[in-house]
Amino acid sequence: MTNMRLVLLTAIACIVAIAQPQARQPFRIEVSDPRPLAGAAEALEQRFGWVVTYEDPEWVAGSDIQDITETVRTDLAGVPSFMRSAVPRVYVPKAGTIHFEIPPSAGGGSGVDRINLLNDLLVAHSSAGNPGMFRVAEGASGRIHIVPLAAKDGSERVVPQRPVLDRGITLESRQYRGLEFLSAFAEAVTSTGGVQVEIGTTPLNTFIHHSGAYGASNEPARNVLARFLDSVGPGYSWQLLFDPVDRMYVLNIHWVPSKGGEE
Amino acid sequence: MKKSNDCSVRLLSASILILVGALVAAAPASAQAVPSGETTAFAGFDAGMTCGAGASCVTLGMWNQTLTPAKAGDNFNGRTVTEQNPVANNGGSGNDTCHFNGSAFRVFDALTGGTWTVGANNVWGADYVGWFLNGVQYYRNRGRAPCGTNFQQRMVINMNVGTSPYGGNNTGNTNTLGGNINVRSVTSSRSGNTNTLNR
Repeated sequence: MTNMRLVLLTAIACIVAIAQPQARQPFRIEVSDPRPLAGAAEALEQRFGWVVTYEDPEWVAGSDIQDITETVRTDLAGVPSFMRSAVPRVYVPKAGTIHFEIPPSAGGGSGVDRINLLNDLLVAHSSAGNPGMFRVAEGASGRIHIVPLAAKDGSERVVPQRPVLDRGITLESRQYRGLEFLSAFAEAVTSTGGVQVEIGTTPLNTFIHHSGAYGASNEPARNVLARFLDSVGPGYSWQLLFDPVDRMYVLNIHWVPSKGGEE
Repeated sequence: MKKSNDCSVRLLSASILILVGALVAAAPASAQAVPSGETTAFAGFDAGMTCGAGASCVTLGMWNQTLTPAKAGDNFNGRTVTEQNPVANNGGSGNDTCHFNGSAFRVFDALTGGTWTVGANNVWGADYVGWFLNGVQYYRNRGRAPCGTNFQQRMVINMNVGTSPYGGNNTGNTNTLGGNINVRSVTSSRSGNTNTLNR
C-alpha cells in the first residue's frame, strides 16, 4: 500500500513538473542579408504572428548596392573571361546584419509596445551601419509598416524618400478579380510615382479565385492595399522590394499564420 | 493564495477539455462521403488571361481535377475543396532554385490555401500552377534559367464539421506541384503530369 502511494505521489509530481510553464527565453533575431530589416520583419511574423510589412527605399547609390553576378548567374560557364564584363550584371542591396534581442514579455504586447519594439529594431539597424533609414507606422487591422525615410541618391547624398505607397491613387469602383485588382493597383501606383511597380510572389490561387468590389479616390496606396487584403482574409502581409537593375519595385504578398496573441 | 487560484483555473480548464473531448467522441460519425482520390487533367496555359485582366498569367498552367467517388453514386457537387500546406507553421515544403539572396521576388516554395467549389461531374478547378510571366523574365535576365520550384499540396474536402483529407500520393494527399523556367520555355507540373509552353 505504501509503495502504491509512493508510485502515485511520484506520478503526480512528474505531471506537475511537466505542467509547469518553461522558463521563457528572450527571442534573438540574427539576420545577415541584403535586406536585414525585411528578414527581421519576417522573423517577427513567424515568431509572434504579427503582420509587419516592409518597403524598400530606392537603392540607387553605388555604395548601397553590390554586384553578385559571378555568384548568381548560372550561364557563365564557357563564357571567356574577356567577355564576362559584357554580361548583364546582377546587383542587389548591399548586405547588412542585425542583432536584436526581444524580452520574453514582448510577444503579447499592445500595439504601442510593438511600435516601441520595432523602433528599437530600427535603432539596431542604424547602429549596425546598414544602408537606408526607415520609420515605423501603425496601420489598419494591427499591421505595422516599416517604410523608408531616407537613402543615398546617385551622388551618394542622403536624401529623404517618399515611399511609393504613400502616394494617392485612384481606381475605378467596380467588381474586380483578385489578381486583376492587384494588377490595376500596381499600374495605378506606377502612374503616380514614375517608378514601375510589378506583382511578385503571391498566394496565387487565393487571389485568382477571389472577387470583390473595390475602388479608391486619391487615397494613399498603402491603405488601398491593406483594405483589399483584409477583404480577402486576415493575416496578409507584404514586402515591396526594389530591384537596382531594373529600377522597379516588386510587390510580394504572403500570409502570416496567427499565433493567437500568445508567445 | 495566487498559486491556489492558478491550480483551480488549471483544474477547471482540464475538466472542460475532458468534457468536450467526451462529447466529441460520443457524437455520431458523419455520413458525408469522402472521395477516395482525384485525377488531374491539364486545361492549358492561361492564354485567355482568365486569372484577371492585366495580370501576367500566360505562363501559368491550369489543372482540372475529378474527384473519385469512394462508392458508386457519391456526388460532391457543391462541396468545397481546399489546398493546404502539409508543412507545419506554413513553412516552405519545396525548393525554389531560381531564387537568390537579394532577389526582388520572394522565395516561391509553398502554397497558402486556395479554395474551390466542386462542380458537375465531381470536377473542380482550375488549380493554377507555375510562374508569372514577369517572374520568368526576371530570372532569365539574371542568368538563372534553367531553374524552378516544386512543393507539396494536401487537398481536403469540407465536411459537416471541419474537413477531411482524401486520396493518396499525387491523388489528393499529398500532391507535388511545380514549375520550371527554361531559357526558351516554361513548364507547369501537377501530380506527376508536366506540360511545356514555348514562351
